[in-house]
Amino acid sequence: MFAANDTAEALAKALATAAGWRLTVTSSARLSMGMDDGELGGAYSPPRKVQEVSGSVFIVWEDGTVSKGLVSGSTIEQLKTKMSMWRSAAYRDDDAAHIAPLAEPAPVGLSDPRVAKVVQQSPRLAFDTLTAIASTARKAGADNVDASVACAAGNTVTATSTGLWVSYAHTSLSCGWVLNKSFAMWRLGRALETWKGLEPMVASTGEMLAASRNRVELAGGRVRVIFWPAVVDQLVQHYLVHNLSGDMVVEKRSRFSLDQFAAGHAAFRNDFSLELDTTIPMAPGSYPCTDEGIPGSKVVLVDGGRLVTPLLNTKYARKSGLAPTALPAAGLSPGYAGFRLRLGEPLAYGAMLSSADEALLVTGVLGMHTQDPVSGNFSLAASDALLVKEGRLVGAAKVVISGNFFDILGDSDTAAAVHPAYETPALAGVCRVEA
Amino acid sequence: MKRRVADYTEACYRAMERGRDLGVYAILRIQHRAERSVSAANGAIQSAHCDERSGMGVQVITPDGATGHACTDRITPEAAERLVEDAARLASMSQGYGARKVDGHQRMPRLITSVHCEAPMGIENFSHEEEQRLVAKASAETAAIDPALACHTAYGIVHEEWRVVRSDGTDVMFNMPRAVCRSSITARDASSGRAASVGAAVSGRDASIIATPEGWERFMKRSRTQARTALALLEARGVKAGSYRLVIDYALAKGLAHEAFGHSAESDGMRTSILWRDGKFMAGTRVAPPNVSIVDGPVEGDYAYQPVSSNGVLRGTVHIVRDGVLTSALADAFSAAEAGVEPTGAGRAESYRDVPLPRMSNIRLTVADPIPMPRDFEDVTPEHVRDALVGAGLLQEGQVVLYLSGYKGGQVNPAKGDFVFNCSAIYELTTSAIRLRLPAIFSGKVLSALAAILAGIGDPVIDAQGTCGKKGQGVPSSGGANMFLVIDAAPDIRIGGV
Repeated sequence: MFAANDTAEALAKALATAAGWRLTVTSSARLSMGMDDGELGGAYSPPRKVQEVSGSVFIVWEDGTVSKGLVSGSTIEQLKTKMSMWRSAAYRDDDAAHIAPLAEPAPVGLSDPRVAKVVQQSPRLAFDTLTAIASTARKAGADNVDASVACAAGNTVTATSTGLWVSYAHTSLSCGWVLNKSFAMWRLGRALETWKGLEPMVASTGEMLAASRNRVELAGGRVRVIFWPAVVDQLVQHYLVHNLSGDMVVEKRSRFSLDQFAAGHAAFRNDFSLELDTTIPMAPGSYPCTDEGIPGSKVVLVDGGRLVTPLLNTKYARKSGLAPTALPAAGLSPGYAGFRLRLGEPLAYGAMLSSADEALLVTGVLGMHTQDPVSGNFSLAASDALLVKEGRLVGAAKVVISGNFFDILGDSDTAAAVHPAYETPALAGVCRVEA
Repeated sequence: MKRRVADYTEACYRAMERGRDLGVYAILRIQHRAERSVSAANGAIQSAHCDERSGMGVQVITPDGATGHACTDRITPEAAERLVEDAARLASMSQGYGARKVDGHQRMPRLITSVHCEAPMGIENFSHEEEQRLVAKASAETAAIDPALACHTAYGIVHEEWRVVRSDGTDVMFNMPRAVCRSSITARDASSGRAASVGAAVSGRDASIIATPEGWERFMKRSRTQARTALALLEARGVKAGSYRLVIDYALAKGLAHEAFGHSAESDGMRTSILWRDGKFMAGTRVAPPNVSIVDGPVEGDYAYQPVSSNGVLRGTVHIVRDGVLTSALADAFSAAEAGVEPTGAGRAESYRDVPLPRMSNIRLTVADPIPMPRDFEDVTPEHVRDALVGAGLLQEGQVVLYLSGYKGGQVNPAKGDFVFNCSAIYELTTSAIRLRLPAIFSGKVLSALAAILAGIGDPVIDAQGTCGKKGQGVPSSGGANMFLVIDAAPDIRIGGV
């Protein structure tokens, strides 16, 4: 396999005649394995190893047109053909036809050598972790366990025609489990510790499963709902990240307009804030710089309930007359990407639960991706909403919950609570519930 | 036509040879994918992209039934050998952890063939400049309908080739051309802050979906209708939650057939899905009225066409439900025998990185003897739907029927049989009035929904397109139904409130 550096160097050389360029190349090896219905491996979840080179290139040609291309392990061998293909697909986009000036990348550690060793030399730890998750889940009362673990190690080069050349190593680990096809949890990190201390988390998922076996009848109506942090992550992604994305704002497909950002519009409660931090050491969403060469940083998106800035790449920064920002890493849920949501003085999750006289704890929903992100309206099914009475999980019911996420965030009775396993808080607010 | 994947015969040979040396059964999958895409917002090109990628993956099965998989994006004889070794090492290691044993591969029929799907306006026969022009035009014309509208149009065309080679001498090549164009339309009322989003799409094998006069007109008709709906939704109110007699369009019906039923018929879910009992498919069980059938299978020219499974087996057309009775499962060789069903070549993989899973291609739910609807789907208005219902005695004085229009996605839990779908808009139909309502989820129990089908309206339309997600893999999916299905009110089928 060609290293990322080799591919990046070959590309940079080939692009020397272009008016401008930027590229990101990653070489990586990934190990993963899964368990379906309590059994490791099998035809559908075998242990797997992936080795590849991936990345992207952006070219500004002499005539001002631009091209986008993908990079793979065969790019070096096919460079001439690729260049010709990219040239043939050039298009005019004057706002995009710029390469960011050189800026110092953020110094952030992203690699754990122990993880690289597991990927390349000693996969037994991955097998051990997977079987340990299953064993704990069974002890916690699960009849059916689906689980998976994965780890990866790689090297990334990001370079631009304006002088940036940053090369860095990175690792990642993940693990997740689903008990009885109902209650799930997912962990993601960069250090080997991500696979450690899982027993209490698996056990707490088992407690939810145990409570759900007592099916209860609910009256429905307006009910206090505690959204589990993973569900809040989904809500944040679907409603907040969508509407704060620069392309959505500039193209008028967002709930918010550029004018509202300029005016510092009070769109949320005054104790609400949202920021993105891509410089947290060893965090899954951290990086030295974006693919465009914009340094990783902390971006305040909403402060004191007021809109501050959308998330802007260089193109939409130019279109909106604002400065480009760090961007969330693709494919990560908001908490792992580095979004930090604050609402009022957060409680501890345990305190929120124990102080609830009566509420529904919603740990998973069906249909989030089908909802209209702009209006904020939601209407979601939860197969196992857990009934909380006097601070304890006492049963479960299938419900449909509906409301408007922006209204819930704006409600003075809505509260946030910090859960030790998540970066995103749990939220408790009032929804319409159909039982 | 020369296939790119035909160039890798030496790598195929070396992989099989290395497998023989190691005493493992090997399945090598090589994928070559050429793609172009364009997107435009309100008439301005936002992005264009053109590229090709290839890679190969090897799945090995040891004599003891342990399996491992390895893949890379460099296709060389040396890399092929190394993949077999890596996969065999992982398989062997998993054996020590009591890994699930795999069998069934020995029963896959040996196949040596090449299947070619023509795409007259495919990626090599149509210009990128023209694609850019059409996409920009579609986006501009839709946004120009009203100042309150914004339109983002995205187009993608793919030519995908696969080669599957197995230790039993199987060597099969096939291609899967496809194209899709979709507009996401947002209406926004600056004064009230209200907003609504809808979508319109066309799909097929090639650029003809927008580049022929008929294709263009179909796409723009759908876009205009949806744009007007988005504007009207700014004034619409919610519908009261509850159980109603429903009409769903063919795209929603495809969602119902695919999400709520097709996934439950896949053989890898034999231990937990609702259509299986004690690990066996409940063939012979009545699950729908006698005039209802559900069929899945590749349709040439369709967006989700796949003639050969990713395990190198010809893909069959499967009657999942025939005349209301559960008949056949969607199965691959690895789980068919254990599940007690016939393999149907249902294995599909997103890419060379993935192992195939039993899944659908084009699924259609049809009701025999439908209520006639003598016009194209694009020309059908809510009034036409209402009149068809009244004519068939399915909407009477004092009754309310909800017509759910436009599919915005769905999700199902096959183990519990719970499903949710969302639509773009709801029309509240009575004999005297039609009121537009805000979308709300359509949720319930799979078997209840199927049993409650009362009638079909119009001939089948089967071009509802999507991406089917399963175990982290996304593959093209499509399907449809009669233009509309009528579903009776049932306690287990709900329209949620907003």
